[in-house]
Amino acid sequence: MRAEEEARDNIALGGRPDQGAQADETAYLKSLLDWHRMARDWSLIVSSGMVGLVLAVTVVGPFIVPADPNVVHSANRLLPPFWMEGGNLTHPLGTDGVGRDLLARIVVGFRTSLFISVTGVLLAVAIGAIVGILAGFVGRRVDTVLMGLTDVQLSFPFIVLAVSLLSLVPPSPPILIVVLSLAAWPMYARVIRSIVQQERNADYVVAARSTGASEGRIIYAYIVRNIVPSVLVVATIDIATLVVFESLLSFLGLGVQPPTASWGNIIAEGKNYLTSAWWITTLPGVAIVFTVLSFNLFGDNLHRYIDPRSS
Amino acid sequence: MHAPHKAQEQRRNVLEVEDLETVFYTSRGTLRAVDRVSFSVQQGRTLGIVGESGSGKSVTARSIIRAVESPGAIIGGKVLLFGEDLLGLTESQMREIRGRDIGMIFQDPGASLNPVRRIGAQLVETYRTHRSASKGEAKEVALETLARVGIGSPSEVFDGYGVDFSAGVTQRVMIAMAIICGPKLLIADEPTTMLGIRTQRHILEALLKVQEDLGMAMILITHDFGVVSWVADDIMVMYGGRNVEYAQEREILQRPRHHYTAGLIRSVPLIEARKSKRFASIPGFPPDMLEMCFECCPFHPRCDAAEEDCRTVRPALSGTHENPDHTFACHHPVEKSVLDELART
Amino acid sequence: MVSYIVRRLFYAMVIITCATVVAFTLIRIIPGNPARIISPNASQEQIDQLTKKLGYDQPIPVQFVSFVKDAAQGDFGRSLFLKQDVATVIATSLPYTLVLASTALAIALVIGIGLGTLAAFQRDRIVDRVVLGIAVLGQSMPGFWVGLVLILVVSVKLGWFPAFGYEGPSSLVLPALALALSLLATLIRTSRLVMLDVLSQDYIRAAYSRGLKRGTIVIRYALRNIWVPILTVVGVQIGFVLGNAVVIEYIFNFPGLGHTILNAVLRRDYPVVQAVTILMAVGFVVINTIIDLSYGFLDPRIRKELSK
Repeated sequence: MRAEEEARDNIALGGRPDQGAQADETAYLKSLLDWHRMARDWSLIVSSGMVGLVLAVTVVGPFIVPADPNVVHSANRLLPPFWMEGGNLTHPLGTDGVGRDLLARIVVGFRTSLFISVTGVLLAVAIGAIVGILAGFVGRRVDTVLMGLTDVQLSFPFIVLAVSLLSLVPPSPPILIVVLSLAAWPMYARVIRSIVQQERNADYVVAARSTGASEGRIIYAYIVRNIVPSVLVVATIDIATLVVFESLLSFLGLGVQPPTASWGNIIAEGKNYLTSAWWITTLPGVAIVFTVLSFNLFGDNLHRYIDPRSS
Repeated sequence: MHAPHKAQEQRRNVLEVEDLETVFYTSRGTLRAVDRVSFSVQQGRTLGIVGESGSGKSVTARSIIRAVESPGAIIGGKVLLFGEDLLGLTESQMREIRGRDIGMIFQDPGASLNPVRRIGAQLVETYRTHRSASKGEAKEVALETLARVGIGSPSEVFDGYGVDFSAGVTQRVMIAMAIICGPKLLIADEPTTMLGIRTQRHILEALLKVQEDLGMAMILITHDFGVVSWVADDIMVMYGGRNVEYAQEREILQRPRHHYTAGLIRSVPLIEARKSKRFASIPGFPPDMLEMCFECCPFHPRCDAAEEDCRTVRPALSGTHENPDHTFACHHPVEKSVLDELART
Repeated sequence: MVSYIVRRLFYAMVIITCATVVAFTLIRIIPGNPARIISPNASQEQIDQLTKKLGYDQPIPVQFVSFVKDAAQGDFGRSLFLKQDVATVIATSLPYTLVLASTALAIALVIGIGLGTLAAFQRDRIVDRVVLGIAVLGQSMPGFWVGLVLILVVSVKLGWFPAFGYEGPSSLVLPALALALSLLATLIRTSRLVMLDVLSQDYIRAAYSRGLKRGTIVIRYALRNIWVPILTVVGVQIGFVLGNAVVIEYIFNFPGLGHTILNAVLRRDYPVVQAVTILMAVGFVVINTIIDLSYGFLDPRIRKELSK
């Protein structure tokens, strides 16, 4: 009798949410995030704000900025930003080599870069998840082969790989997304694989299996739940990384092609006017730094709250 | 079975701690880890400090050598080493005392050694920090000390790395490190907790041997009453950061006055007990140090004999007329003899 | 221990082989005939002749075998544009890249680890926060942009260092700084974390309780224990550094391997692209293998683990 009571007490105290029904889902999510502490964490607040700003500009920006990013107006070329002599508020950040408004082009750059990076990350997560779950679940040979594949992929410095690949096919956004996701997937495969390996033999998973739960349900209930936090953190930071890669490739002429504006190709153009019109090279970089910084900070903060697993 | 007890003559006080107060400032409040604790240790004798995790015993030890890190701070009391208050010294004076006059060993011997350096190098370095000696002389002293703590092949250990040896050997090495400069006081913080039972015995014997060889005072900190009663001459029981009972070992074993002490003694598995006897444990959980009341007895939530005054008045540490040296902090102390009770079951 | 070394070397060879095969194959799958690149205006007959002469009409595995045979003798083919053997092209540009990369690595290691450990000792105080701020900012700045800004500010406006080509050691400064930045930032954060972890270990506390001098504890107990995790990070990051070198060399017109491969790619000079890609992969694998093998020397616990 006492043993049963104690067992019940233990479950109540330890309380794995899976013991109850899906009704405990909200309770579980609430327990994941310490809302009180989060509300007072300045770093988290500031970085969320920054990310919010980036997303806002991405979604709304092109509608707000009056100038057209693609209109060429050679009389207006190389106008400086408004705070310098010769600048005016019609083109607040000046114009580029063929007279296009720089602010408008930078704002479009938000859209370009973020769209490509986010899609790239999503694709990378998908590939990595498949590989990781397979490797972790099936194990043995499949695992060795898949991990070997990851290693080979990592053995190529990404840029060299991307540059070589992109020299073979004409660059376009979908190709770019695929190339970027190829750079990013190994990390997810590794992370997911190790979580799967840890979890599949965890006590509560074994217990669930013994009560007859199907493998599919096990994968969803235990493993996916445990994967999401880690993946979310890595993905946020990866968005930042891919933004840099995309800018790099566009800068080299292997990414987004003009006239579509991307920060990288604006800077590439600006390179020709480095001394005469420094703003074309410098200002898009500021946008890059701001965006990357905000995702990096946000991801770091997320890491502290969402991923108690890591040291 | 007990280790031979030392004679009762008046001996020098090597260490006298008076009203030591160490606190930790946390975001949830101030934690009184060591709450006005006093004790003394004499040359050649051993004081055992017993208590559960969180009772403040380790913090006490660290406070003696002033190794309390922020957010902790020693805010009151005196720590007198041969009459000199360590709390008043500068950090660099204190650094000389650590290792040279006071030696300390810790719970996890494997983790206490620098994994990437040879054992011998660490021993020699410790010796040469406090005594001027050449490398050769220091090496000799090191080998001697390793032999003294019962290591069979000192030069093999000298040339080896921590990872090469068992926990028992490694703990002996740590003892050697602590005593190599010939300190007057050795503090052992849970030295046997992580060891198997046979090794525990060996280590305790080694400790007693070096204590005798060097005439040191020793403080042994543990949660295991069985261990402490084997080795200690005097025992101090800590609970909730306070000293709740203090007496000679034999006295406390036969007539514990504080209910917590009685509970601890009862919970030591005795081979002599009959098989039908259940494992006696003290009901309840260790106190949340941040929520603990000041003006009360810290043990009252778990105590069978708790009364109203236990909740509202802090019991003072005092002895009785018949036995002034046996002090305890309890409003309604235990009257019966626990050992009799155990003998009867 | 020896068996581990052998296994590790074998593994490295396998990876290099795979990388070589992949690089080789990819380049040959692309549409377009290399022969046409050399002489875009030649007639079809001449193109066919040239194709045959260069061996591009053979099946890929055959081409691969002859490539490997030639490569073993130091012949990597001939550049389609530069009228030189690929081997020569590589030999002239490799030293520049090596010097640039080593300088950048040295800068990143010294400053990165230095600042990171400093921050760890001053945990949560102003120095720590400033250093962390620098690190996070540094990780967010794309190398190519930093290079351009450095050229603009330091070279053009201030005139302290040359920006283009190679005029002597002073030409190294700006490119090395731009290249070092992101690795430096990462190393600051990593070494800070590692040092904080080391400082919380029992052996530090035990050393302190023995009265060892602060300097001794820092150098012989703390610093000695940070190498394994830091080298791991360096191994991973080297790939990115090598990649960034390509872009940095392009911006600064620095006559190194990266510059070579970039021009080769843009001009579709396949033999060069192929050889340099393989070379870079080999370099990366070699560096990582060396790092892996060094763990045994650095940490007796790992040495013991490997000997089992």
